Parts: sequence; C-alpha cells; structure tokens
Amino acid sequence: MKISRLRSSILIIILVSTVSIPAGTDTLTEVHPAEFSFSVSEEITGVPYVWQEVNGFCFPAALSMVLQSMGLDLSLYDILAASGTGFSMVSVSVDETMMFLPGVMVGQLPWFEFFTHLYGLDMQFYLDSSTAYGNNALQILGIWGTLATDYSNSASITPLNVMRESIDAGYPLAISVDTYYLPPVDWDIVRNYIGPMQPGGAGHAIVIVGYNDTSQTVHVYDPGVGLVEPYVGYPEDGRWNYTMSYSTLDDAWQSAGYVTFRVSNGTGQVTDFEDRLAYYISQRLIGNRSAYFEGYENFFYLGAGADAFRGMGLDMTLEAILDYCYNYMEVDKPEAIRRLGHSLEVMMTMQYHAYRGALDSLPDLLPSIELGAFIEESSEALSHMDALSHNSSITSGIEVISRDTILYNTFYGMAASFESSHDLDEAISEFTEELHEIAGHLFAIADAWKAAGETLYDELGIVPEIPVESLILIEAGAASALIVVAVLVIWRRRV
Amino acid sequence: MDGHCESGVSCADGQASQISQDSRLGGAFEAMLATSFPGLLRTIMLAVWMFVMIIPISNSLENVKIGQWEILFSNSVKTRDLLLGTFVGRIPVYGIFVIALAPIAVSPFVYAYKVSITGQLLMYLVIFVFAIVTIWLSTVFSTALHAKIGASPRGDDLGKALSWALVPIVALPVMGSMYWTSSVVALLNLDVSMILPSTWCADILSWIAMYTGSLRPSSIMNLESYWFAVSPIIDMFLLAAFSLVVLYLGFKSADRLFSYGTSPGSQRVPRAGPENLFIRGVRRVFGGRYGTIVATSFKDFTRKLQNIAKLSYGLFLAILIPLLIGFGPFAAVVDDPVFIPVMSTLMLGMMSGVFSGVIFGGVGLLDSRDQLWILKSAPRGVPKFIVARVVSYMIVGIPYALIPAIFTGFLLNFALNDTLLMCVFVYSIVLGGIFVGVGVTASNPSFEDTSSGAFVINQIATILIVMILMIVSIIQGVIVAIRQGVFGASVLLSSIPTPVVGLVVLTLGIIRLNFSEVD
Repeated sequence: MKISRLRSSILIIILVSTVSIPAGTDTLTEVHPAEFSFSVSEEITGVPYVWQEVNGFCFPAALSMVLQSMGLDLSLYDILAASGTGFSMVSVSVDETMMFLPGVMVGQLPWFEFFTHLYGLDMQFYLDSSTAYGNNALQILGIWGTLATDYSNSASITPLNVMRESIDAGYPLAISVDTYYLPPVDWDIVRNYIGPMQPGGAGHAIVIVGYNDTSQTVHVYDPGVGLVEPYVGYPEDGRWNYTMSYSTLDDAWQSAGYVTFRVSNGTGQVTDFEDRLAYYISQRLIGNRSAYFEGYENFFYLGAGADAFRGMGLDMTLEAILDYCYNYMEVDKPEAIRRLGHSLEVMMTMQYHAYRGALDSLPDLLPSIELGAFIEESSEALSHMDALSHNSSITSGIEVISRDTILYNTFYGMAASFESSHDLDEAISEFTEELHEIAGHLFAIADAWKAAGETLYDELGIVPEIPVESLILIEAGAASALIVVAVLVIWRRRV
Repeated sequence: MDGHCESGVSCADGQASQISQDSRLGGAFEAMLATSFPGLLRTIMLAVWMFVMIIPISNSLENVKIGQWEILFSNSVKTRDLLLGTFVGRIPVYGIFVIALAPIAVSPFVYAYKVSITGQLLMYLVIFVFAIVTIWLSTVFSTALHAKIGASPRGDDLGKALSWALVPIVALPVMGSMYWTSSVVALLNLDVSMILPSTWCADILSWIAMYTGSLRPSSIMNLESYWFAVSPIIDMFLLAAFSLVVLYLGFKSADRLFSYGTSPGSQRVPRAGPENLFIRGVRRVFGGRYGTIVATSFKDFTRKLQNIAKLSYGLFLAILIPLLIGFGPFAAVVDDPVFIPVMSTLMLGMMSGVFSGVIFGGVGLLDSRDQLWILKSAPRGVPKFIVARVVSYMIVGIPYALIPAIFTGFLLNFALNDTLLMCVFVYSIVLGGIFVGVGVTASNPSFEDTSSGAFVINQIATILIVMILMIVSIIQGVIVAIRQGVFGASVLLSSIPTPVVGLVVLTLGIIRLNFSEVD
C-alpha cells in the first residue's frame, strides 16, 4: 500500500506544480543593472484590482492585474481562455487517488510558457533553493525542464531588490506567499486550523504594487480574500488592498520559497495568434495526451480533456470504488468515500466556472475564426457540468457545507450506509443508480468536449504534414524492398 | 486562499509533501515501468520471436547435410515427414528456451496489473502457441534454405556464410524498434510494428493482462487509446490467420520446394576464373614465388563466403557503434567534445579487436595441410608460408579497420587528426588480433573444419588473449590520459602493446610449427 501511495503522489507531483510556481523561462536573461540604484519608495498607481472569484484562480487573477497595468487588457477569464486552462481537465485514478485536476492546476509551467509566448511577454522566474519550499519547487521545474534564477546563487539579486527593480521600472510584481502570514481576516482560518505551509504545498499569488524602504512596508493587492466562509463575496470593504511590513512579507515569501515572477513587455503578440490558440484549445478539449503531459503520455492512470471525464465516468462502478477504498484502513473508508465525492464536486465546480468564463471570452480572442458551431457543441457540456457542481463545495471552510447535489448525496450517503452496515459492497451497490446518473453526466461532458475540440480543429483546416524523417524512411524502405526483390530474383535464377 | 486541505482542494499537494526524495525516485521508477509494459512487451516479443525464428535457421545452416537427406529420401521418407520430424525435434530445445523466457514477459504484468491466475494461464497459452508457430516457420525456412543451398557446389560454405548474415537481420529490426520508430509512428499515426506478428502476440498478451488484472476502467481506456491502434479481436484474427497460413504453406510447399524428394541431387563443378587486378597487383608487389604464396593465401581466405560474411558482420557491428553514440539512447545524455572521440575510439578498437579474433582466429591453417607439407621441405618454408598468411590477412584487415574508423570520424565530425589517430589505433588492434590468431593456430594447428575442436579452441584462445591485451593497453592509455590529459599520446600508447605481444605469440607459433611434424 505504501508503494502504491507513492506512485499516485508522484503522478500528482509530475502533473501539478503549485499554484504560485507559474512560469518558466528559456534563457536566464539578466534584468538587473550592474550597480543597483533604487528609489527609497515607489508606488505604481492605477493598477486595477482583479478578484479571483474561485479558489484556485489566484495566479490568473494576479497575472491579470499585472498585465492590465501594462496596458494588456486581459480579464481573469480572458487569461483562462488564452492559456487553455478553461478548456483543460485531467483525471488521476490509481490506488488511493481518484480525482479531477482542473486546468489551472495542471502543468502550470507549460501552459504559462505557452501563454507568455503567445503574447510575446518577457518572463523572469525566481526562487530560492536554500529554502525547503524553493528546493522542492526547483525539482518540479526540473521535471518540466524549465529554467529559473536561483536567489541563493547571488548575493546581489535578492527578493527585495527584484521587487524594487520591477516596481521602479513600472511593473507590479506577482509573488507567491504563504497565507498563514497574511494580515486579512480571511486567512485566520489558516492560522487557527492549518498552520504554515509545507514544501510542495500550494502557495498563494499576490501582487506587490509599491514599497517604502523608510517605513519598511510593501503595498499589496490580494486577489484571494472573500473566498471562504464566513467571508464569501466580493471584498467591497477593500480589505484586498493592504500594506505589510518587510518582516511579515519575508515570513510569508520565504515560506513559499521566495517564488517570484517578473513579467514585462516583450516582442508582442505572435503573428499567427488565432491559429495557434485555436489549435491549442482544440487539443486540450479533445485530450491530446502530448498536449497535456509530453513525455508522460503512457501514464495510463491519467486521463486528459474529454477522456478525463469519460475515464471518471467509467470508474463510477462498484469495482473501481472498491479498489479505491481498498487502499484505506477500515476506519478511514467512510472519510475516504466522502472526500471522493466532495473533491470531485470541488474540482468540477472550479472547472465549470473556468470553462463557462473562458467560453464567453473566446469570441473576443478569436474574432476571425467562425466559432458558431464550436460554441454550440461546447455549450452542450454546460448543463452537465452544472449538475455536478455547487458553489458551496468551493467556499467550504473547515467544515464541509452540506448541499443537495448528486455527488454530495451519493457519496455522503454511501459513507453513512457503510458506517451503519460495515458492508462496503452493499453500501456502494445501494447507490448504483446514482452512480449511473453521475457517469451519464460525465459521458455527456466528454462527448461535448470531444465534439467541440474536433469542430474547432476542423475550422482551422489544418493539413497534416509528413515529417522529413518519415519521407527518408519511406524512401529507404522502398529502396530496401527493391534490393530484396532483386536479390531474390537473381538468386532464384542462379540456383 | 489556494489549495489548502481544509476544503479538499489540493490535498494532493499535502500527500506529495510527505514523501522523501529517495522513495520518490523508487516510486517514479516503478510508475514509469508499469506504464511502459505494453511497449516493452512488444520489444521483448520481437526479440524473442526473431531469436526463436532465426537462431535455429542459423544453427542448421552451419552444417548443411544434404547427403544425409539423400539417404533418407532413398528410403522412401517424404519431404513432408522430414519437415515434421525436424519440427518435432526442435520443439523440446526451443520450447525450453521459451518456457524459461515466458515468465520474463508475464511476471511484470502480474506484479503491475495484478493479473488473475486465469489471465496468467491464458498469457502462457498464447506464448506457447506463438512459439510453436514460430518454430514451425523457422523449420520450414531452414529446410527450404537447405534444399536450395544444398544444390550449390559450395553449399556448406554458403550455409555458413548465411548463418552469419542472419544475425544482423535479427539485430536491425530489434534496434530499429527500440530507437527509431517515432518518426514512422508520426507518419502512420499508429505503431509501424503493427505489421509484425510479434506485436500482435504482445498486444494480445497486454489485452489479457489488462482485462484479467485489477486495473480500473479508466486506466484500461487510456491504455487502449494510447497503445492499441486496433482491437484485440483483430489482433487475434491476424495471429490466427498468420498461424494457419504458415502451417498450410509449410505443408503445401514441402513437396514443391524440396526437389530432393523426387530426384537425385545434382553436382555442379566450380570453375576458376581469371585473376582480378588486385590479385595480380599483390603478385607483382611481393614478386615471384613469394607473391604466389601471398596471393594464394589471400584467395584462400576471400574465396570462402563464410569469411566474407564474418568480415561483413564485424563491419556491421563496428559501424553500429558511432550510430549508437551519435543517434542512440545516449546521444542526448552524453555530448562531450573529449568524451565522444575517446569513447568511440576505445569502443571501436575493442569491437574490431575482439571480432578480429573471431575472423582470423583458427583460420590460418585450414585446408593447408598439403601446402604446408610441401613448404616444410623448402628452406625456411614454414616461416615464409605463415608470414604470407599474415601479410594477406593484414591486407584484408585494412578495409576492416579503416572503413568503420573513417565512417565514425565523418559521422561524428571528428577533427582530421583524431580520425587518423583512431585509424591507427583500430588497425593496430586488428593487427594484434591477426598476429595472435595466426600465432595461436600455428601452435595448435587445425587443418580440417571450422567445427573441429582445435579450431574452436584456437578461436576462443585468440579472443581471450586479444581481450586481455586490449584491457591492459587501454589501462595504461587511460592513466596517461588522466595524468597528462593528452588524447593523441594516450591513444598511441594504447595501440602499441597488442601488436607487439601479438608478434611474440606469432613468432612462438612459427617456431613451434617449424619443429612439429605435419601428420
């Protein structure tokens, strides 16, 4: 059992990089002047605030703030569409793991690289490998083959200097922090019940818009307040906008490995922007495994795009749920069953919001592509995603909020039944009909995603090219066949 | 707040944080291995299939026994009976081999997919049936080749040559399937190996393992979509059709292919043609009588197809080395401007040296009892004869050493100096192999046959001596390379001991032969 747990953990590590380790760079460009000369204090004004709305969307929201301040008018959902995350989903089903991973949580480095390349943005990504979190993050970057600037290798390139340099240059700086140390009341839940973040945990992205060396404070915009009960809702009171001391910032930043991404204007949008984006989205929807996890395509525990939904639908059976529960001790089985239902609903709700928002944004991003048929096909998924989603699932605090949804009722009912009967087979079989219904929704989503992806692909009218090396192989094969035939003929005549 | 466990959003990260670095590596290895099994199985089955098919053919070609057949046919044994008898005789030998190998293919699946007992039995059954069909196919091929080759006056030699040539036929597709299939896959959008019966068998085994194991339906779906271009029913149909066709054609062709069943074997008399320009050149360079001995020795070696086949095989293996270094699995891992030339030179030297033992070891005195008897009576006849042999082999060794060395230098873009040094190194090792090979044979003459005990002992002794010499030479070269950091000097230093010691062995051999009686 221990080995099997390791296996699924590794799959998830490979797939998921933490929310606030978003970027990769191809080259280590030096953005710092030889001698540092910073203002004593600097403030970037006019940065629009973007609320992340949904747990898990902090990074696109922070990015939206940075980009809008640079004059690139991209909303949260524009970014979810242009990065393909709104149209992406992964399932992991092996051993004690049975879960969805919505687009924003899957392979963040590759999708962010794609996004920055699409818009021709300059990216510089930093972390500090001397911290436990940074060291762990560096290994994840290694898996994706991404380069980063390591603070621990330089005496002059420090987190605070990068912050000063970026803000002096007029670019707000997005960083990853541990919410445990952040002042807003929303994070009391972390302070009171969870504790500081562990290496490998998911950090939180915030944006620094100003600093003051005299008062030793920074001014930040926090996209993530107002997400969890009892503070759910847009933070009208302005608690997203606050200052904190360098000391508090250092605690929060260090705990998240000093992960920093500095983004600035680059070469500008690529010329074939629309074709490239449309193709990318079509492959994410269809579930092209190379588009999701290149080099790991044969990891059959992972489902991608439409196949993620179809695979999870296929796993809504007695045998598969029994296999999932088998990996837990008897006493932990009810909680495992509840967590399965809850987690599926949480992830589905996140993706539902991302998908719906991204669909709305797409026509503005792809104005010259005829999207009528695509929108029609893709909209087929919405009602089924809605049936498996509920906002209460993503606003739950310490206590899971009860709700009247098919996923909640089925799995919580199943757990309760097992607790009273201690017969797992019977407890699962009791909900066969509900499981069929859930599977039906998942299959319908899979069909809609596949059809939408194929429609978009067809719209592009791409003619597949034969690779040069394949042509060489054909020619070599034909020549070999000719030689063999000639030798046989000659041999037959002579013998 | 992103991803803290209280709302279940990213408990995955929490799990991930609990594992240590070491266990991570072990787990990752296990996960990667499990996910690659269907592909690995295709490669394993291809290698086993080719082995079970080619090795019996190769072995039987070593000894073409048409005379034996003619005796059988004269006693009203039908060709069909002969075919069936050979097949039944082979089943136990190669059957044991397959039984020993089958668990290697099956047990990883049992471990990774938790295949049921029924599933395991089914997998063994499929392997058994496939092995039987392959042995049958191999029997048909080898018997047909026997019949065709036996009709030739140089049947035995041709058979031996073919037995060597068949090995690259096994190696090429196996290596190709391992390293160079991706572009073909991109072209056809399905695995090109689907045309191979071994792939059908491997895929059927994977199917059985998947469906009788404890994989979840989602995993089965992903496996199917990634690995399998066609359904298992088509695989089964293809394999069944292949088996039936092979069985039918084997029986059907028995009476048509093997004309020995109905008519007595015919004999063709070989005729000597005029000497070519090269042989005439050799005669002229070495002058008069000595030139005749060298030319005769050269013709003795090169007229035998089996020698040419061995040379070609050695060249093939040597040429594979730069291809593997440049384009194989380590191409991306190692890309060092010093390491590549050093490794290429050493590997090429090792390969050519060891194989020169196979090519030249033991052959020195074959079919030469009469010549030696005559030469023994002449003044310094034996040394002259042996030196002539050595000189002719040295001529043969030039293309054998230089072609792969120049090819390597060209393919891997070496500097001219490095390429020249490599040529010198490889040729000196080959020379060492020739000297040792002829010297050992002179000490322990084998005049009769390549399957005689003395021949085999001489060949093995030559290979061992050359290997030990090369290892000793390379060690001192490596020490110099590490201490001085000079590539050229270390290569040159490594190239000296093998031919020098080889000359000593050769001299001792000549002395021994000179004093021995030719019986």
